[in-house]
Amino acid sequence: MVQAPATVVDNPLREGLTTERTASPCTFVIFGASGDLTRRKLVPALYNLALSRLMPAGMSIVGFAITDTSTDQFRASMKENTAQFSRRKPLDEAVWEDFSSRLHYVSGSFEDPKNFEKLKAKLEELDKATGTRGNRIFYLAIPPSMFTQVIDNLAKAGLIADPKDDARYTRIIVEKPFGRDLASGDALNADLSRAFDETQIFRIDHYLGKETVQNLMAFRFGNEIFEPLWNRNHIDHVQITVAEDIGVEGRGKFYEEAGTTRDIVQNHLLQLLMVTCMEAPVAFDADAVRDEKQKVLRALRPLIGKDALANTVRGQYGPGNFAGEAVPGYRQEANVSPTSTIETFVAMKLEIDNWRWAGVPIYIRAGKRMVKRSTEISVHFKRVPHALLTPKGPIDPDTLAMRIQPDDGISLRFIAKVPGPTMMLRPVNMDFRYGTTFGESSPEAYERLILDAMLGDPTLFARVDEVHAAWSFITPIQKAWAEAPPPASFPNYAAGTWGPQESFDMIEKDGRHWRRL
Amino acid sequence: MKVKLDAVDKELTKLWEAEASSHGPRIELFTLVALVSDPKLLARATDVLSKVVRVHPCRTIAAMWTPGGAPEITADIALHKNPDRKNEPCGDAVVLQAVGAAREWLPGNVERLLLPDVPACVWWVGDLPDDDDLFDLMVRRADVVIVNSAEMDLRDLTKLSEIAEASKDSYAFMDLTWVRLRSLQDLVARFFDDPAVRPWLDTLSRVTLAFSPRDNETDVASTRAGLLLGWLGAALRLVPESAKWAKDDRGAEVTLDREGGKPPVTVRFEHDKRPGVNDGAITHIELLAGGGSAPTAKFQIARQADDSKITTWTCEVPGVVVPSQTVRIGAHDEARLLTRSLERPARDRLLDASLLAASRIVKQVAPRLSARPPRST
Repeated sequence: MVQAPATVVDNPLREGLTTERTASPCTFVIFGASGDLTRRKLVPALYNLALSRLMPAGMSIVGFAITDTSTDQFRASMKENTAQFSRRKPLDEAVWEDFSSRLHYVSGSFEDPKNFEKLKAKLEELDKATGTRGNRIFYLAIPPSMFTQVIDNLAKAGLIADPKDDARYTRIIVEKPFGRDLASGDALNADLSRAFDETQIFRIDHYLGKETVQNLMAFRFGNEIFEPLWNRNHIDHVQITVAEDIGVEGRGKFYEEAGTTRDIVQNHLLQLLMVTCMEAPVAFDADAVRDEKQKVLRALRPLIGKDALANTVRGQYGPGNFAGEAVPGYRQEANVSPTSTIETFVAMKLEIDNWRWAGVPIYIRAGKRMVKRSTEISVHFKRVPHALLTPKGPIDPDTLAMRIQPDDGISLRFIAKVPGPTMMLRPVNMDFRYGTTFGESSPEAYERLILDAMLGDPTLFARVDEVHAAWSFITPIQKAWAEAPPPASFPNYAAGTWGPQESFDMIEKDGRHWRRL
Repeated sequence: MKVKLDAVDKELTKLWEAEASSHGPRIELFTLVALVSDPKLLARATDVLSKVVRVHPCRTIAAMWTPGGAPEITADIALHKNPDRKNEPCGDAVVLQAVGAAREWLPGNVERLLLPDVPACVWWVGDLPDDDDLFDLMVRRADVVIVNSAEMDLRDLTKLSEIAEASKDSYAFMDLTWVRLRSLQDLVARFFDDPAVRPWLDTLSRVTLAFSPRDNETDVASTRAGLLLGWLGAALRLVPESAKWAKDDRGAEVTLDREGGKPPVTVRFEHDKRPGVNDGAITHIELLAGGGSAPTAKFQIARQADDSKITTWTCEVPGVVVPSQTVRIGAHDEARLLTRSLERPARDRLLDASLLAASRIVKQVAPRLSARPPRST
């Protein structure tokens, strides 16, 4: 259960207000403060929280990185970046001035424990000057290979509060990937849990902060009309696609280590699967929601050895064209081996062995350099049992599509009669678009998630058993791939297409088709 | 486009069909009826509606009447377009104009134009007369009724409280001025979210609310300041019957007992006329706690002199370090307030309680049904 933080207790002025609580004062420490994530997402998100008056007065932000720079330079650089990347433009000078006075910078390598002593001294100085009271949130915006070192040095420097300490708190936010396989994922979790209690750990998957992903739960559990149909009796199959039109965009080195399975499937895609297929939780709180999500992963039929090879397709993009321009293949990207066998596309056929989903295949696919950027979950209903109205052929089944990005929304395709003297039928779409229906822009996923971490609400963060279950499912697939001969056909799809032919074959042999996106 | 009253829906459908290639689905979340109490307010009302509909796609009906002349109702229709979205249509715009005795026909004709199966939201534009049967007739079929107490006098808080009380089983009653107060309420509440500061609320002794008065202001407080007083009164369990008022050159103050054996609280209203600040707006809030032999804590929310939308939040509590904070309180024009009201079109029990508390506290200085005539608009 999420405990209500002490800040809401007994404040009679809070009763009935829109904002139920404000976060306690704290220092937000970003490891990797000179990186892309900090400048594009984290600092703009924090600034937007300040602009929305959601940041507590006692709040300091400390950037920590190896880059040798001063606090003034850090503030100037963050101002430039925030002006560019904030969702709200132009920069509000008055609010920025106040916000930037809260930004500080500590330089040093993460290997040297002395730098953590320096950080500790800075945090203690801020506690005294800005009333942050020893409350700390550490955000690891650094490669996973550095996590252990940082965690150890934080512990050695005495920077981690006892979780039972009511007077102050320490929380750590870690970015995916949470390891690269089951062993390393478990090792990372072991490292984290050596120093932190699970209640202090916030594993961020920014997909869960997206409004549309949260809306999936609202859609499923806030409406009576869909839930009775949400099972094997009425659903033929489910498709989940996470398609990107971009290539690796300068992240060749990272991608050579990760591949699409680790980068997208193990986290974002399985999160979408869990939210789509979970049972209704007993309450909308962190443990109840995560209990139900985790059960979905536990019920996933393992893909091991031959099963893994038979039910998965890997792909790698070759040269092609996108939007009228020639684009290189994966092997031609910077920092990528010319003989790389890393997958930039993956498709899988999954089965969930539980009462609700038995016999309903879940087809998933994710890839780079595809025709267009599109993330979508589509639920394909069964055909009507008897083609009463079209004796000459079957009636197209209904489809419910939930678009996560872009143009987020929900559309229901159903059958209607074409006007005229004969009974001609045609599928039509009933469309709900988030942007058109709710005209105001939603907060960025990082805003929501950082605020939740400040409030101590882990509902939208991955729990240790979720991560373990996700790796338990993914690792045997990776093992089967590793033990099979290297994919000689790579690259097997041209940039700007929907992936390799094998992906189409996989679904079509079951008499189904990928939905046109 | 002028159309016959019975052809409004048909003609609107034609307009949508004519735009079919340039827009997505036709989405209308509710019907928003603006009852324009004065023909001079029609342009203002339609401008507000055209902005609200960009955020909440809906059918808008602006209904107004002019006295005299042969009874007649005319209908004008158009589609609202959203300039932020390539001028896509985003709702139906209907204007009904009644002349003379046809005012009585408005409720029936408006009702016929309400979209089926979605909420009907009625916004009364302008001052609300003490007795208006049109208001009573229109709210009968409404799910949400919105007024703006900033258009009224302090003594009207009693009337609004009565309306809120009477509406309990039918519609959600909302006030744009109350919506405007949300950010200030949040800033006041956040002083005491901090467990280290929270105990000072029990020793609260004095509250100063400075507001920008109307020209020749006669009320002791603007309705906005009165609502804020009502909120504090309801939340802090101040006893309205104990109110002791005093007036002086610079304003007025009321001292109220507090339940639970806590010390009484004096709330002072001060005039602080500022250029560029709307009449009635709160410019400064100060809370003092402690006193006597104990050290004093001071809490302030102050609009900056050079930019009234920028506010400084300061919390000075002995032994507790709380940095001050600069925050922006957004531009709350009427369209924005209406948009925000419609985000959560549900009954707000805090508003009911605050109106009730405010009306009981100000009764002595702003009595309902006094000899004073209603303020002319």
